[in-house]
Amino acid sequence: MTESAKPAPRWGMVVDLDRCTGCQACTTACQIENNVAPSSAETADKGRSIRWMDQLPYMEGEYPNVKMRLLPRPCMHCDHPPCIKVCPVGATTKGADGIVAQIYSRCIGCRYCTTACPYTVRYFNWYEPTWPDDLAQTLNPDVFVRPRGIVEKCTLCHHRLQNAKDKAAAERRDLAPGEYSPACADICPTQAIAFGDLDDPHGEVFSQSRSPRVFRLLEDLGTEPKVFYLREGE
Amino acid sequence: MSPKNRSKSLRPSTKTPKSTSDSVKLGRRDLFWMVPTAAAVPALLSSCSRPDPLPPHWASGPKLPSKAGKETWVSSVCGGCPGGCGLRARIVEGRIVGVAGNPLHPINRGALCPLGVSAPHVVYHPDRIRGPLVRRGGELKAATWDEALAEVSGRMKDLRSRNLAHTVALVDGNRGLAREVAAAFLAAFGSPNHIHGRPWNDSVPGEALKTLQGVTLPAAYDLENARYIMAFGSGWLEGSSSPVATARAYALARRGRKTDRAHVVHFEARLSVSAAHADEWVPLMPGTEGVLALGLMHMILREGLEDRDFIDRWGNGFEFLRAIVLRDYHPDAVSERTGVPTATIIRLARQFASKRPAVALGDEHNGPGAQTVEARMAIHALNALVGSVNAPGGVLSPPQVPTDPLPTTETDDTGKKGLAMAPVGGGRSDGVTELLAWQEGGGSYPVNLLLAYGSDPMGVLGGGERVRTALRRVPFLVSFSSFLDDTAKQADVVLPDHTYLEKWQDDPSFTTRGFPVLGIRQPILKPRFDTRHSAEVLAELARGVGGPTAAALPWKDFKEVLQTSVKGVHRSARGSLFDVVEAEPWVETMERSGWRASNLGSFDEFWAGLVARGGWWDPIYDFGERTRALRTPSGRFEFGPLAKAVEKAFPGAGTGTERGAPSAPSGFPLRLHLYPLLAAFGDSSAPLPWVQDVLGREMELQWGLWVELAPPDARTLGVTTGAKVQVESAEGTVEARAKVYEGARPGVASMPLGPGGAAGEVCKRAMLQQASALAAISRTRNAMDGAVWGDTWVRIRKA
Repeated sequence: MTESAKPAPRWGMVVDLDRCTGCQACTTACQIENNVAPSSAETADKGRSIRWMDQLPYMEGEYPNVKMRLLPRPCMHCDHPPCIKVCPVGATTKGADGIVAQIYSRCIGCRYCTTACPYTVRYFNWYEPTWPDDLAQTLNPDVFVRPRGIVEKCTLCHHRLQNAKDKAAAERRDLAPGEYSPACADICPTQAIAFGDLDDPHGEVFSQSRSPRVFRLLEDLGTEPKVFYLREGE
Repeated sequence: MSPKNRSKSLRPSTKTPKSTSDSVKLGRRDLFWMVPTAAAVPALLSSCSRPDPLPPHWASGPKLPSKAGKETWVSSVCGGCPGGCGLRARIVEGRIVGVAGNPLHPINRGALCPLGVSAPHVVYHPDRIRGPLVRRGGELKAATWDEALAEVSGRMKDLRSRNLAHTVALVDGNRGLAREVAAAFLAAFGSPNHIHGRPWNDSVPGEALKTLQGVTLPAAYDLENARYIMAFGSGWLEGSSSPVATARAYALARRGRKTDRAHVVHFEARLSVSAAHADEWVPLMPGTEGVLALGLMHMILREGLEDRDFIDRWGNGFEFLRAIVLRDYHPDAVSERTGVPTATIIRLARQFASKRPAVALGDEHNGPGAQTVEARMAIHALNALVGSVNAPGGVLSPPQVPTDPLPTTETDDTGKKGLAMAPVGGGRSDGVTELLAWQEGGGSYPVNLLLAYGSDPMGVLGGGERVRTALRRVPFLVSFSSFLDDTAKQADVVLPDHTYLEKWQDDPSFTTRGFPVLGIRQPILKPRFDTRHSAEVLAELARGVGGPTAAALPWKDFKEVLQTSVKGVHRSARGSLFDVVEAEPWVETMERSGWRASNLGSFDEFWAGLVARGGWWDPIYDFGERTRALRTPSGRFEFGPLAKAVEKAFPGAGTGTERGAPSAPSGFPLRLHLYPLLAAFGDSSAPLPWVQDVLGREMELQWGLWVELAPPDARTLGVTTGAKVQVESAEGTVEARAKVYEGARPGVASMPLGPGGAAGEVCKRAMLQQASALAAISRTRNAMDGAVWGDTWVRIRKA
């Protein structure tokens, strides 16, 4: 691999809310890609459904001047992630490529990180993951199932990066732009989710993340999220 | 179909999940038994780029498989809804472990909706019917195919011998060749009753479109090129017949052009997902969409903003309509009925007429909905008024995919007698609503045998008690469903079909720009259970009946029929196999310069390409070919039928001159508004838990039925969000949770809806059935196709 010659990419995402229709294909694609066990009425009632990519509704105003904004919300993969600071066992790390990862084998399930994360992207496995009957046949062999008692979160489909890197290495070349993208970005009907290296000046996310429409969630906390949003309108 | 003990826990094993047929239960130390490659271990354990050494106490874990199974990707077409999206299934060790959108498919270009992503779950669903079922002693019992087929064909033969062939009806949820097979079957057998069995206008045009334009195929809405989109009624982003295509067109209209971001206005009783994405949401009283359209029309006409060129050249009966609209639909009167302020009506009418191309969307676009055919006509007439018929950014009439039709069938005297009988619903293929009216006493003869072919008529009709009672009057009910849906539960014989990823099928459709598309559905894997292709089953039934019916369907393998049929496409030498996006402008340029090249090759090459790439399309829309879009006897757009409807009365909203808002019947103070949820509105009828988890996420009340109430109404009732309430209509009562919603119009109770699904033991989706059971199904002819529920009023009390 010749990767060492270049700085590691800074993987980031830009969500264009003017394209998004709120269909939640990203949520479902993520759950299925990452072997998230199906939720149930009881689980959902208790707010324990696991959605690495969730859709957050924001309501403003009073009838009839009401606005609803639907925000697809993955892990922000912050440059300064609060979750890392609170983990007592070092189960949460940030790699050179900026991806905030969860090391399942280290996690002791204390849930400090779920509390520390201002974006509530971290999910505790309250239950043993179960798939009714033959549905277990559809499990993605690239991602394993997390057991009860540990915390999990969006990995930016890290297994896809690993596979893409392996392929590039086998073919003795660099990872090409667009070769790796997470399931949510791939599936989006409106191409509202752009993904790539935030530092690559030729890439789509580079210019989009500098758009005048751009904002980030809870920017004043200084977490430096790597997920950008483009607001609706002209 | 015993659902018991399905969720057996699984001992940690050293095997890969291919052999795990039950639930997965893992301990921490079993974490890596699922990992397919040793190389991927560091990545998977840490999900970060720096490999983390395995902790020593993990090293004793089970031995990993040495390498991943062989991985292949196969193209097919999603069958979750009529959208017709192309997908590619990922197959590892004989299992479908995921799907992605087919990037070459022009309808979805690599994207999918939540239903599409869930396609593998349909195949491996625990609630699937595993073989033919026959009702014995009141219960559905497993039977062999020979027994089940003999049971059905015997009865059909008997009816035919008694000159009652016409009393066999077939409700059809298929399109393309499978539909043609059914038509040929009925034509030879001798029954005129081929009933459209889907809530969408995906294979037949809506009645409004048929009346005004005389077309025989559904319309495409060129949203991508529209500059102004005005939507009436329910959610066009959630409930359209091709949600991914609609979403893609929406995104292109918003951000696909350098300038000119499309402006979207949405009229609906509640702030739906579609309304939330509009630039302006205007709440209105449900059921008054048609009146509002006429009010807008009044302003456009009064100010002379209509497209005179289009109306003079292609309109018919316009002056008649104009006189009535100007007389009766003054914005003040319309405002009183609809609840939309007069100033808003005036402003939006001016905008709609001046920012062209503008397009008006009603249930004629969405498919399922409560709008009457008159309301749909009024909305569609707005498109003609601004010249958005057969014009870029407007309503297009896609050409038919040039497949070869099946050979014409011969029948005998018995068959001819049957065909001469009056069909159910008087010849209007208005879908299952007509069947219900027929069954409830409107018919001149009883239906003795009903074939639910790729359709769940009870579910489409809402699955309520009234529907069950009416269809129970059919002495013999046959379902072809893969799941125990509403109809299958009542059926006398179930002849289960493969799921859509297990069979060959054509999927003719079109893009939003009106380009004809032929998707090819191919089996991703061998049928998992003892199921059979429904078209092949019809052929077998035909052989059982014998005579001309058997002669009409002489083949055994549907794939052969499919191959023969697509020869027509090859012969047409038009269009191309699915190709990358960049190829599209090339084809158009070549077409414009009058040089058309066929890249289709020999038929064998063409077939191989079809199967590998997923299908064929023709990215040309000829706007000059007016005869395709205007097929009325006059060859013009007929304003007359709308004028006549408006003149006498306006169904669903009183007469035009009547004042005041639609009033509530005594005792039922709230108007019920049923609306679609995107992913719920599929017709695979499999209840999918992952899909259930995202339904109504914006309401934050998933996994159960809810009823939305405006804060003042909730205060009057003394209920808060989450409170259990009983919603009662003249048709029935259901229990739901209250949701106090700021985006709800006071005086309206809104509930989510979908066609009835199989409420299996494992994954219940009862909420949708319950909501639709409340609706008063329209007893009039006004409601047609998808419009199976009408004007319903409810009262709510605390449970």
